[in-house]
Order: sequence, then C-alpha cells, then structure tokens
Amino acid sequence: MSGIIPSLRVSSPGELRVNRKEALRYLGYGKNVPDDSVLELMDACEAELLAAAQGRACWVRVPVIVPSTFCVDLGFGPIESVSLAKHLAGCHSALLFAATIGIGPDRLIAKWSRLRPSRSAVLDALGSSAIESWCDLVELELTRDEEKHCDRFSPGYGDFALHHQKDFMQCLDMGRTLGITLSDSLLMTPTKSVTAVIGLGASARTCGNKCMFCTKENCIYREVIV
Amino acid sequence: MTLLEKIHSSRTYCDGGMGTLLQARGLKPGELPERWNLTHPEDIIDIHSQYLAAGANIITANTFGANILKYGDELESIIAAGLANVRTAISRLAPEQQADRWAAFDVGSLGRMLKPLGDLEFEDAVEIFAKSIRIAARHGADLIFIETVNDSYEAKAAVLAAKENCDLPVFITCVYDAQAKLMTGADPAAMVAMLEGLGVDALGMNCSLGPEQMLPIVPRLAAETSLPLIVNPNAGLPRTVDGRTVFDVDADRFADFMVEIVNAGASLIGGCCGTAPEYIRKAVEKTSGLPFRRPEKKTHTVVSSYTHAVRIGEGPILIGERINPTGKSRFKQALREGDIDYILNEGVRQQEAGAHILDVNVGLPEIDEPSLMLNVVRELQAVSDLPLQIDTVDPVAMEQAMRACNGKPLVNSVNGKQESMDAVFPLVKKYGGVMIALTIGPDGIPDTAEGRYAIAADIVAKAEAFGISRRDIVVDPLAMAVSSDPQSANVTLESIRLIEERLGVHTSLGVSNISFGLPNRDFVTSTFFALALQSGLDAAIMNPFSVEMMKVYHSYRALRGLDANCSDYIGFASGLSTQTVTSSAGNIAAATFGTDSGEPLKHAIVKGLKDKAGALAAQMCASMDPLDVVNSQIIPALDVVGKGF
Repeated sequence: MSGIIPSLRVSSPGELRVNRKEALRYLGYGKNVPDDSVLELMDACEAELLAAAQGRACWVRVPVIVPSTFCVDLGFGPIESVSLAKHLAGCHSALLFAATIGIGPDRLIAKWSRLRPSRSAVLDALGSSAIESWCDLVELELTRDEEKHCDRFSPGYGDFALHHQKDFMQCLDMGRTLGITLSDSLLMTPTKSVTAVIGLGASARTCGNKCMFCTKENCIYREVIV
Repeated sequence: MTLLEKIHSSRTYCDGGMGTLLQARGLKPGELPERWNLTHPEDIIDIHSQYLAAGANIITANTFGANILKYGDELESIIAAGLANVRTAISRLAPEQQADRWAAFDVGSLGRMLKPLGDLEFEDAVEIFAKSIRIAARHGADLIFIETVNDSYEAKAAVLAAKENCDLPVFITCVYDAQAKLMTGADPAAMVAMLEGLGVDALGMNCSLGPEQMLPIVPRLAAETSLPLIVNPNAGLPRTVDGRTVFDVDADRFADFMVEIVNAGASLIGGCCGTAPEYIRKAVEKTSGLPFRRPEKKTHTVVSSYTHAVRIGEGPILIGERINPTGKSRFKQALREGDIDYILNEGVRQQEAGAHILDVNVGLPEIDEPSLMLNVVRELQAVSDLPLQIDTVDPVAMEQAMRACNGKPLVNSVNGKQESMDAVFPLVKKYGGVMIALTIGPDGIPDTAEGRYAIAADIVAKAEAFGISRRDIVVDPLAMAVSSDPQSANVTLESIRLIEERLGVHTSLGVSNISFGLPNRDFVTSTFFALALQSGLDAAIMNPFSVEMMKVYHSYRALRGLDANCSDYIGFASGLSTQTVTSSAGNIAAATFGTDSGEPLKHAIVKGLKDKAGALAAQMCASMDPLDVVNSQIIPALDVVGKGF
C-alpha cells in the first residue's frame, strides 16, 4: 500500500437503503406514476439487490491548495480544473472519498440482462439510488463535526478530468480497501461505486444540490435547481 | 533444505508490511512504490534486512504492482532490482544465518476486473501475469508469492500464469472479509478447492482484516486444505486517533493473536498492512516454541464455483442434465442458431428447481464444439453460481472449458480405455477437477458388477500413479435400459456397492438411461433413483424439473436424517399443487408437463385440441425432423393420454 492509511467504513446489516423516487427518475418515469406491476417488480428487485449488496467506504483527509483559478493541489500533483478550483475555493482541507455497494448488484444486473432485461433495468436504477444513499449516509457522518463542507465533487464533473480516477485508486488504495478496479476507459467496477472530493472549511461553498455545479445543463437526470 | 521441505516440516515466517514503512521514509501519496527499487535501493534493502533480523524466512520483493500495465518498458529493471535488493539483504547476513531464507517474487492484484464483471479478458490477465513471472524466474526468484487477491478468477489467472511459466513453488493468499468471503463472493472452501486443483504449494489469506478478525476464518481454511496454510493479517483495523488513521493492534497483541492463529492451524505466518519488523520479531518469539503440526491430508471430494463448494458424498447431489441436446429438438435448434439465452435460461431454471451442479453438453456433429463450449461456460458463469460439469468427448473443448471455469469442475468423463485416460488425466492434473470415470473398458461395458468394479479399480490405480488423488474420481458404473436387459438395474446397484466399499470412491449415475424404451419413464427412473441412493449412490445426472425425481430426492433426505426437521421436504411438498399430489397417474403427468407455454404440442394433444395439435405439428415439422416431432412430442403425449384410460 502507499500514501496515508485510509479510514474504512463497512455497512451494517439493514443499513443500505434504496431511494424509490430516485430510482423511478433514473428509469425515466418523470412525474408519471408507475403501475402496480412495476411497483411489484421494484419490491422484488429491492429485496434481491439489498441482499446482494454491501456498503464499503474509505477516505483520507488532505490539505487543499488552490494556487490559481484553474488548478488544485490535493497532495498527489496538480489537478487542472476550473470547476474543481471554484468548488474548493475557501476550503482548507478536503476528504478524498470513495464508496461502493460491492459486486453483488453487478452480478444481478448482468444476470437479468440476459434473462429478463426489464428486471435488470430496475435493479440498475435501484443500485444507482442505493450507492447515492450510502454515500449520503457516510458523508453525513464524516462532516457532522465540520464547520461547513462542500457537496461531493467527482472526477467527470465539469472539467475535473476522469483520468484522476487513477489518483484516487492510488491514494485510497481502493483495490485493497474497497475492491474497486478501473477499466481501460476509467470506469469503475463494481459499477455502483463513487469517488469524490468533499471540501471542508468555514467558507466552503454548499448548495444542497449535487447538480448545481455541473455544466451539463441538458442532463435528463438533472435535479431542478430552485 | 528446500523451501517445500521447510514448509512441510517446520513453521515458516513471512515478512510484514512495506507500504507504511516506505511512506515513513518519504514515499509520496500517489507515487509508485516499486520505482523505489531503482531510486532508493538502500531503503528497500534496509527494510528487508530488518525483517530478516526479525526472523522472517520468506522476504517478498517490493514488486506488488510490478506488471506491464503499470511499468511498460521499465518492468524488467523494476523486477530485477526488486529481487536483487532481497538477495543483497540476505547476503549481508552472517553466513550461518543465510540458510532457510528465500526471495519471493511478490505478485499483487492487477487492479482490473476480469470479464464478465469487468473488461479484462481472462487470457489477457494470464498473459499480463506471465510477463512478470517470466522476468522474475530469469532474475532468480525462489518462489512466486501471489497475494491480496480478492477475485477468484484473477487468482486462477495468476496461478495458471505461474504454473505455465516457471517451475518455482507457488504460494497464494487471498483477501477475505469479515463474512469470510472474497470481494467477488468465494468462500474458503471454494477457494481451497480451486487453488489445490491448480496445484499451488501453499495457500491462505492476507490483508483487509486484523489477526482478531482472521482468527475465526483460520479453522475454516484448515478444515478444507491439505496444504500448509499462510496467514498474514494487517496490524488490526484502521482507526482514527487525533485526526490520524492508525491500525489498532500493536506488536505485542499481534503476537498474542498469532499464537492463537498458529494453534488454529496456520503453518506460515507473517504480516500485511501496518505491520513492521517489530511485529514479526514478536510473533516469531512467541510462536517458535509451539509444536508444528503437519496439515492433515483431506479426503473429501469437492467441486466449486466462484462462490461456493459442493461436497460429493455427504447426501445426494443433483446434477442438472438439461443443458444437453440429446433427445431435445428445441435445444438442438438453440445450439444450431447460437441461441445462448435459451441455454442460459435452462441453467437458471434448473438452479431454481434445486440442481446443485449443472452439466454442460453442447456437442452436435455440425457445430464448432470447442468454441461453443467456451462461450456457454463463460456465459453460464454470468447467470448462475453453481459448479459446472464439463460434459464432452472432445479434449479441446474439455480443456477450453476447464481453463475458463471459475472454480473446480466435474469432468464428464474418462473411461477405462488408455486413450481416454491419456487425454483426460493431464487436463485434470493441470486445471484441477473431479473426473467422472465410466466403467467402460477396452472390451466395452462388462455385464457383471465385478467386471465394472475391475475397470473402476484400474482407472483409480492409473490416476493415482499419474498424481491424481482418488478423492478426485467419481465412478459412474452406468445404468443400462432395463427394457433390454432385466438384470441391468441389479448389476448397476451391485456395482455401486462394490465400488464404494472396496475403492472408497464416490459414485454418480445418469439415472434416466434405466427407463429407456418404456412409457412414463419417470416412474421407473425415480424408483431406480431411490434404489440407487439406498445402495450408496452419491450423485445423479437427472432432470430437476421431474416431480417424480424430486419427490424421491426430498423423501430420501427426510427419511435418512439428512433434512433437519424435514424442512426442505415440507418446503417442496407444500409447494406442489393438490392435483399433482392426489390425482391419478395419468393426471399427474398431465399436470406436470406439456404446459401451453413450454411444450404446446404435447399440451394440445393431452387436452384433446385436435385442430391446434395438427397445426402445431405441421409448424414444428417445418423446423424439425418429423421423426423427432413424433418421438419427442407426440409419443410422450399419447403415453399420457393412454394412462388416463
């Protein structure tokens, strides 16, 4: 292993949750109400998914240096990103954070994609909502005693390049701590995994809406910014 | 003393963590640690020297991440320097202290997930590992030490690469979580089955957990393996103290736990993340006086998947026979059309119906069997976690399937002819597996139990001489049609008894052959199944969709005390419809097959839907041989109708 020792949190039985509303949004229901058969399928899938999932999360605290409006240093070399620099302005430190709900959900999604694609799609959506809920839960615990903190900001948001996933892998030793691997195209397996920077500091910018700093304004999953 | 002599005769010590020590010497976050072999050799040598002074016998080179993906053209120099640093540290010891010290080439996980879950091809993973291992062998490694593997398929790729590219001893430790599972799901029994089959020299676990959390997993590994067991824990679990994360077990407590770990069955001990030379020194001090116990040779017969193992010989094992084209026109059609989804569905449905193992047979004269077999094995492993039985007479297809199998398969089959043993034994020796040995000799199938026993005994003797244990042989004494020989069932049943008693090996049968040529075959097959179980049969290749067969299976287990509180039986029996349980024979069959959605022609005939039956038969004749339609659909349906009168 390398770097400082990452802290680790593993979910207790019953701690993982899915967010039905989010899952329906991912499935493209918008404001439409799903019929009973869909709701029944969601019940079955939720039970199957949660039985196969286990939450793990790890993090390290690093100092934040923002030498310019387009560059951030989190201790592993410069990150050229205007959006991350803007996001972390006013932060003295940050948590490098990674989380996953494990490979079990991926197995189910892959299995049902061959046998019953509708079930696979529902499991996929529920899995996405479950990893978000797990991240929210751990983030809340980690920032409870902080004066103020930013929302999670992940490689791929704005101009924070996806290749920085490799830095997360190395710094958090994610292979060992979480069992996360990176593909050639920098996508994580298990797919229901998240890496993010959480800025800390009295002047940290927060908006309570994950989508606010994202420049992809036509995203169909974009939450409405009030 | 060689390394293998050492690990089989006395306790052997591994070294401990490297990363935290390098970090204390200035390794930056994100910096690749293996590069220090070239840039900071004295630091690396000093750490190795400290572990040697602490009493470690096996020093792992600083090569955990030394693979072609990370280092490209620098790979050879990084590995060469890593091994040279260990050699230098050993050479600096006083001459009398240099004995029993070995330089291990340390192989870590690639950080890439293999297909089907990730994007890395299994054979590409083998080649990536192979490149590093060939370099390490050239540069004087004493052993290959694969560690921190959290996926069974990656473990298989790494071990195969080692076995195919050097003659060095191969050790492997995997990462278990607190539930004793690898990240991708395998339990200790599954890992031991697969890794022993592949021929590793020592196995065990490292990383992720501290010694306290590993302690309950040690007896589970020890109960499965016949090999020396390696246990290299972290220095506890990470805990935050004054804003810093530290591991929560100090060297003294670590050593106390290691005493318990040794008493629970570990032969080789050392440390992983957070441990330092002091941890090893204290562990050596506290455990070196404990008596050494050789690992006990295990005799149970076991196959495995990527999640679990199945033991043969501890209650009836059902091997689902439905992935097989023999007599199944729809299946043949699926094979010809490359309709993999149909095959996958048959696999999943059999698992849901209660099969423990899936037989995989995709042999048809007009198809490319090796390529289809490989594809089906890979795809099945994405939808089902049951162990597989590779069923083919084509040695190329057999090898490809065994190589791709993410576990230890059953291999169907070998027989008493020399050419069959010459083809199958080397594959089982290399990849691991349990062979189904058919009692067919050079002169065919003997018609006496003594004759079949003699062939079984010959296969077992020759396999053992080849280095395959008899625990990896399951004999199939062959069920022949009772309609053509009234003594055939008696001979088979007697053969089971002789083979189990005299050879001490387990038995399996393709039970349905017994009823060939008879109407309502399930009645005869299931009764024969009951008789065979009572004679000692351990496994049956059978149709798990047959209610008659499942009735026998569940009733037998309940009656023989193999089903606590009869709970499986109750679950099965209460799930059957009342009609199935109470109606006449004809109606049982009508109720249990020929549904409108599954087999519409049979359904139409049984229900007397004359016009529909005619239309369906004409439709089926367009895509099938008409005689196949008669044999597979019309005659079975008429049997049902006949029984109703």
